[in-house]
Amino acid sequence: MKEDSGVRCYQSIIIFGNVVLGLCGVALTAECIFFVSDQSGIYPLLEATNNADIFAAAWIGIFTGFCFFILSIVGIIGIMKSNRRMLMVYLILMFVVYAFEVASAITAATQENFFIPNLFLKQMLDFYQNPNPTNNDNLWKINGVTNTWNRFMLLNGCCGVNGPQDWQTYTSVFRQSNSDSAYPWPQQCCAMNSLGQPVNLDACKLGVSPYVNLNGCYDQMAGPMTRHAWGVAWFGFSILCWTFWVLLGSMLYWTRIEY
Amino acid sequence: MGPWRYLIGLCCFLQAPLAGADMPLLANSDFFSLNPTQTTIALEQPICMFKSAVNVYLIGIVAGAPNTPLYDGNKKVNASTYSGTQGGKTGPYIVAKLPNQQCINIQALSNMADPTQVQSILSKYVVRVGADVTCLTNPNFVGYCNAPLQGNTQYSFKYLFTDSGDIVQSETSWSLGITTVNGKASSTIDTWPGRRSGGMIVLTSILSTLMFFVFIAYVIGFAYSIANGSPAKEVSRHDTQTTAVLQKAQEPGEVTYSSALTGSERYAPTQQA
Repeated sequence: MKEDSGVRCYQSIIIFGNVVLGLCGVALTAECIFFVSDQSGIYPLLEATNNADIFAAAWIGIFTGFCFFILSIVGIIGIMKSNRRMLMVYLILMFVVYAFEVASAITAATQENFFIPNLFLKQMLDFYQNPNPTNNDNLWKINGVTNTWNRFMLLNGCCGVNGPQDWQTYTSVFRQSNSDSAYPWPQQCCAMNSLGQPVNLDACKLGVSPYVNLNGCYDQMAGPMTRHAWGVAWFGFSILCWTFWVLLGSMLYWTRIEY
Repeated sequence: MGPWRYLIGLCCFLQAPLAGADMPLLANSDFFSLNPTQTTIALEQPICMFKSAVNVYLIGIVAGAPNTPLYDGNKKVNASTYSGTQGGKTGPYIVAKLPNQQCINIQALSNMADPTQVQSILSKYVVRVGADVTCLTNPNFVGYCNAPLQGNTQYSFKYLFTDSGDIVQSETSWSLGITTVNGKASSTIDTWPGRRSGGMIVLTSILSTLMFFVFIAYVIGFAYSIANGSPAKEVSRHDTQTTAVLQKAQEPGEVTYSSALTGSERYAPTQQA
């Protein structure tokens, strides 16, 4: 019976591994659904720079998480019954899901490196309130960027990426339809009263501190994006490290099953 | 008292030209940040500089333009406009005509945080050169057009203090050159993120390695089971098997092998061929 208890112990270890894997799969699905829902509304900014791959990684994470959950159940049943066919199905499908999850984690980690202030600065200067769209796709991106920046600046009380000086240091498409004298920076940078109007427009144009927002929006944008990318990448990484051992153990168990 | 008389006399003598040594200054940068902009410059109004004047004329000129006279022989101000001098390129022009502010009850700039006081403080303390965007194209405009300046150009300014008849009583000297901001093209912005972050390198390398090992394990496992396994192979015997189970496995007409043994008994920890 000693061998039997050794087998039982081995089975229970792999079953425990699959249980944890299933729970982590559900958690990964939930986390990725949260990221895809884009609570802070940053997707239009990423779409305009063609850097929206962290959303692709989150979408993959939704499906791989759910697959981990289902396959872990298959694995538990297969181990308990020592069913060779079931375990072969489990192993092959797990390999496919593993590969996808590796892709998702690496994509999210790599894309996060691209998020520097200059990226959003250049995009803001090229898209924000651009009066001349070249085609429908360009118009879509322009509207997305304009609405997102307006919402960010009004809700968070900030201006530009680094501050109102962004609009002065560089020329922009905003300048094509808004003269520097009347709008040295967008009116959304001004402090607003409860009716949504600038408290004092002249003071805002002169750069007087309580009447214009002198701080930049980058910190409020970078926070959600970094959390999104790191959540997908590193949680995926930890699941994969755990799954590695579960798969090796399952493969070893599978080779020892008698027909 | 004797020698001091000359000192007092010297001071009185010097007071007139020294009063003219003041010059227009940029508005206080502690409160007015981002000044100058691409087309505007915010200057301090000359409060308490020359108390007996009625009007103050702000004159602007592009640095290096010919310095034509500002007033005639009777010290009456020459009318010159933005459009007449091409924005100050061919000579000085009158930017604005302001009332000379009273030198009493001056509000501190820190009171600007109060929304009820900010407008009056701004109108008394600062003059924004280049503030009027419509006067050049408005055919009905009367007065001095304070049109937007050119970007990346150096300007110089001067105040003329006049009485109610526009006769110049005193003037400041020309200010130091003030340059409007040069807006760089957005294509000059470098969006290259630099080197890869350490976390990303660790993650990618470890995951790639794990992926490789999983794949190798699969290949070895499948090759091993293909080489060793076949459905017709006899059930190996364990020391722990009971005879009843063995007989059960050898009965003919048994439909499937998989139900013959329980899970733990089908797993062979060591091969006994």
